[in-house]
Amino acid sequence: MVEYMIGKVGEFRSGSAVAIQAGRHTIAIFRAGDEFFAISNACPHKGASLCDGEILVKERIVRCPWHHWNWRLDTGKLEGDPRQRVRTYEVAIDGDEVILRT
Amino acid sequence: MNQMSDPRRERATRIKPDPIDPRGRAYKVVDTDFHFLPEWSDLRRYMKEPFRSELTSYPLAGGDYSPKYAIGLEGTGQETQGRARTAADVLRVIDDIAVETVILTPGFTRPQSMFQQVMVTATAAAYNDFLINEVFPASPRIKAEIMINHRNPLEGAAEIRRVGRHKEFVGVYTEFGGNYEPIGTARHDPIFDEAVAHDLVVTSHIGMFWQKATPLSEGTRTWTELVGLSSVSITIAYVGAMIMQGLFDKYPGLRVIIKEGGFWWLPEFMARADDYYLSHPGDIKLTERKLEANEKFLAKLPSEYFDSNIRFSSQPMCFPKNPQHFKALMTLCKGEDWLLYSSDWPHATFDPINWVFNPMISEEGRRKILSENARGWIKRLGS
Repeated sequence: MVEYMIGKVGEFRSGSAVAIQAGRHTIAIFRAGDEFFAISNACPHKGASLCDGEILVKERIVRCPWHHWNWRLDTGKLEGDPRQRVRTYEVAIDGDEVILRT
Repeated sequence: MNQMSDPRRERATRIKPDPIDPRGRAYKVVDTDFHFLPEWSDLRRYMKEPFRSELTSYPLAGGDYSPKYAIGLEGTGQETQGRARTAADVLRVIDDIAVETVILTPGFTRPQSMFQQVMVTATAAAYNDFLINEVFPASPRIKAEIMINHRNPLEGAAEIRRVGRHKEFVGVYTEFGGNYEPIGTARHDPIFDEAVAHDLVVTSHIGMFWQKATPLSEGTRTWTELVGLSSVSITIAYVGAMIMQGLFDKYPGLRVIIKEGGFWWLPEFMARADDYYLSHPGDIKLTERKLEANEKFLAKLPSEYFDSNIRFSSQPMCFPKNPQHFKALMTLCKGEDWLLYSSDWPHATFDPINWVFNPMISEEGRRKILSENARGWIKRLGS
């Protein structure tokens, strides 16, 4: 397991996202309310960058910016067909630091 | 109190991922369907009176069904990726999406579904003149299709004659899906006469009143039925009219591109049309063109006209779940030869180049789909 320091909690506002390069993985980090989520950044449909998608904070969903496929941030599952999913990653808060574990 | 970060942790590098596959930039990509939507006030400057005074906004198109119920966005779903109003906008976007040469198609709501045909003619002429004067001079990378009023074939033909000498026009734009006759019927021959005379491809693009104004879609309720599926049925009927009513026997050099009508239906079409034709050819001689030519049969089997006369823009590329099925479909539909890449930017069905790097497509196929097929098929593009 590798731990990455993503940034300070206060750097992220609710409803925002960033993408990071963690080794060979491109991962999108989302803040929805007080919670943080991390999923693989590339939409499996056509490859859009999910960190650019609309974030539905209450529903914990990111909408793909190209074709509006709705991915659940907590499970990585596709809303319309939960059998499909993107990879999720563990995010933790350590003090005021946001930590990603891969 | 400040905490020291655990030194064993790596500091993540924040990036701005480019979702467009960077390999695409090596292919001199041709985008055969990119929607251009100038400001109405800019088109109005090219309108003649009384239209300039009377038409203060884009003429309304009839029969829309809002996609907002299906995709949760307000509007028509036609600007989900943005809007190109000017040549500068076009150049900025095609740089972003790794396109070298773009073919503009009208971006406003379904030109052929404007109720009032005289307004279609006036709008088409203004649109074409705007392109000639304010878009083409900006860059040789920008080409376009001539907008015409295809519901009035004589006026459509006249517009091709009027602007066809401008080599930046590479095709003629028509639509399918409304309650008008398919473009393949003989009443449209004035349009085909001019297209062939000017070396222009004729394209048939999904249009309006959309499919819901046809009996085919009576009872539909959803976007998937209307746009995703009924458009395929309409396309089959349109292509059927072209082939079975002798369009390509009268114009053997005519080149057609079908846009947004699907293509995975080709194996069924080709086998079924050949079988029905061979079993029931008696009424071929009763069609207008065959009567005119005093011919009894088609010059070849229906399935054989695709190689010589018809191609398909690639968007939306819909993948079967099983990659081997995709490979089989590509083989059955001659996808590496008959598909011409298109993005459909900026619509909700935007299709970037990424799918062409599917491992089931050969390297030669990538070159063909992204560039060579279009450059070979559309004569005015050149190679």
